[in-house]
Amino acid sequence: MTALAVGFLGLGGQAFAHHGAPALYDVAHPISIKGTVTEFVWMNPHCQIYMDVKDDKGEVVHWSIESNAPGQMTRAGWTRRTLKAGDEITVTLIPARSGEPVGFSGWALGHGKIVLANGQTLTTEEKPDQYQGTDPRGAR
Amino acid sequence: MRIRGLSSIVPIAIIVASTLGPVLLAQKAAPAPKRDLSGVWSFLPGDPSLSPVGSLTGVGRGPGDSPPMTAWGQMRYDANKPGYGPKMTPENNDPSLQCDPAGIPRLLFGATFEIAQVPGKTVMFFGTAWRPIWTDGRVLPNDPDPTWMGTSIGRWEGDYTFVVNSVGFNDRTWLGQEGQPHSDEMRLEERWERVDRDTLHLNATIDDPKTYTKPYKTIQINYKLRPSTYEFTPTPCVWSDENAFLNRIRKPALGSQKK
Repeated sequence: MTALAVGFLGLGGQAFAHHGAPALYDVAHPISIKGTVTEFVWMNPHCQIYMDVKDDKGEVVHWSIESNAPGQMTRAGWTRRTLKAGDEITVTLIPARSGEPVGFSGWALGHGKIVLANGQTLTTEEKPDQYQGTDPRGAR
Repeated sequence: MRIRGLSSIVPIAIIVASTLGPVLLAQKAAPAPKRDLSGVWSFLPGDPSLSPVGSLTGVGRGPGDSPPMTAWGQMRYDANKPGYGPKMTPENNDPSLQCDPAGIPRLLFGATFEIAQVPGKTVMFFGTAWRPIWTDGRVLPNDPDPTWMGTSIGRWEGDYTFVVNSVGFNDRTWLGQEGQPHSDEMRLEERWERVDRDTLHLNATIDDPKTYTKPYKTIQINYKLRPSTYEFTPTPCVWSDENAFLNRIRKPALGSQKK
């Protein structure tokens, strides 16, 4: 329950929460899946990753994954080119409570992350320098 | 013995204070400018005011727990199926899912916004809407057309607190993502206190006797100033994008729960 309470923030930054992700996804039971990206959608309200994943029996299962809004992801260092079809990735996500191959991987669950084939780990968490007083450049 | 002990502590305390003092001062934000709220403001992730233990909320907590509702207010609340809070359900009928404007005050509880001050008005820009707050001395209208954003006037109390009073809201918005209702008789008072250069506190009171049996004092919301380089841009709700997202992600996620 503590994990639930530590701020599930469905949307970050510029938008406000209304999509109700915690009602749909099992926040307490994150999983990791490995597979091949078929499509990366850089779009409001939430970016989307579609990928093919082989299950225990070797059957290909098509997963649909949502992350954060493009603005949020930009501030975390992502671009619309960060992922592309054909990329081999491992995604940590919270799966749909219904059991369907749909999930949420993003800020601020504490476990939304994506590992690329080269080992690089991506999250969608904002950097602390996005706030005045913490910006090392002292902007303003 | 005791006195000697004390006397040896005092110099150490002075040394500690003189060493730590500059460090603490360096971390303290600069003082607030007078009568100025301009800038881009956001919640600071991790702010303890945002996510109390036991509450599962969206960005921010919304207005917080409401006072007791009237029969009319309860009827409206019963019809709302929010995606967050004690009533959260996958059957979410949040009007914002249809790209309805979130309106005021809901936008205040969950958005990054920019404030600009020009002669005669202070303007708040949200990603999806903007809002003039008149400061030219006019009074609130007696019979305003109901709108999503209401009609607002503002005045300074001292140099650091900006008080905004609003009327003229329609009753189609929720106060927060937990589905709290309001009527078109709602009157809103916002007290914006700029505590220091980097920190803005909002305390609001919703006076809506048609919906609530007592004035609804919202929880205090703390905002932090973004650097001037921060790119705050319009993010309108685009129905075709929203619909694609719902059809490709959210409806499949519902699975057999789908109605």
